[in-house]
Amino acid sequence: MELTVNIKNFSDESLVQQDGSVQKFKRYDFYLGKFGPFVERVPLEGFNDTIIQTRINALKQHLIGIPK
Amino acid sequence: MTPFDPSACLAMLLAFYPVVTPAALALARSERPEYFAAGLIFGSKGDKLQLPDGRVFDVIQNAGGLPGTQRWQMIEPGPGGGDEVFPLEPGPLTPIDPGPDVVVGNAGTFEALVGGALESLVGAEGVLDSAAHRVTEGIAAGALIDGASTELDDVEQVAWEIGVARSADELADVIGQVDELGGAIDATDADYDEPPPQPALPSEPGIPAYPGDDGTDGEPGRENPRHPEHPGPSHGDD
Repeated sequence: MELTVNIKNFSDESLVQQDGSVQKFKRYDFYLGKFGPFVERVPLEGFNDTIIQTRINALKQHLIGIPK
Repeated sequence: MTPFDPSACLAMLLAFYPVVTPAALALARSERPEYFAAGLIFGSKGDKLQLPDGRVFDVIQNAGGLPGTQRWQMIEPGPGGGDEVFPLEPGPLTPIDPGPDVVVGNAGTFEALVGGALESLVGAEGVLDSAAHRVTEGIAAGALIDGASTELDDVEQVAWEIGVARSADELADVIGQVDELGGAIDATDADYDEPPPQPALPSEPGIPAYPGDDGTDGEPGRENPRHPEHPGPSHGDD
């Protein structure tokens, strides 16, 4: 099964948390092969590119295990 | 609104929410709402997802079971659920051949049934005449029954007279027996004509009223006042 990452959108977002504070994110809208869209947000505080890559890998592993 | 992909939603749940509970499903719904396409979580256990287009997905397997036995799933139950993730294999049983259609009779209407019934009653007049003739014969038999009843009444009269005669005989026998008993009673009374003897009282022995009445002194040397010859002790006169 080919699960090519196809990022459709990449943007910054600001969301109000439950305690009233505002937190900023990077939003990724992408597809993995024919599956998706996936939407993941990575906090800008302590941002690291490996975070989104780790999440994408985890999603790939579980997509492979899902029976079709 | 983000379109709904069951596989993407299930992969997200498997990757980021290892603890399978309805609370984890609600948390995922609030943290990553785009995966749920504005669907709502419902159900008595909070394990089902309903999308705005009406589709319903069962998200948690064995939601009411023991802790640790739950699994994430994305199954759309009911008919018309789209492509089945686990399609059923054809079983060994085959449908039963229904066979030929049931043949319906010719007499399909009520009029035809009534007409057929009337035709079956064509020869019934002869039967009715024969039955009337038998009734006439029965009337003659009734006269015989009345004669027999009269004879039965005579039998009852004779039986009553016999009973009365037997009663009279029995009464005469009782009277004769009473007369014989009367003679026996008179003969028995004659044996008891003498007056009954007077009862003899036993002779009363003489009881001495005082000691010494019998001629002996009660005490030696004591005078009996009733017998001067046997003086008793003096009482102060001398």
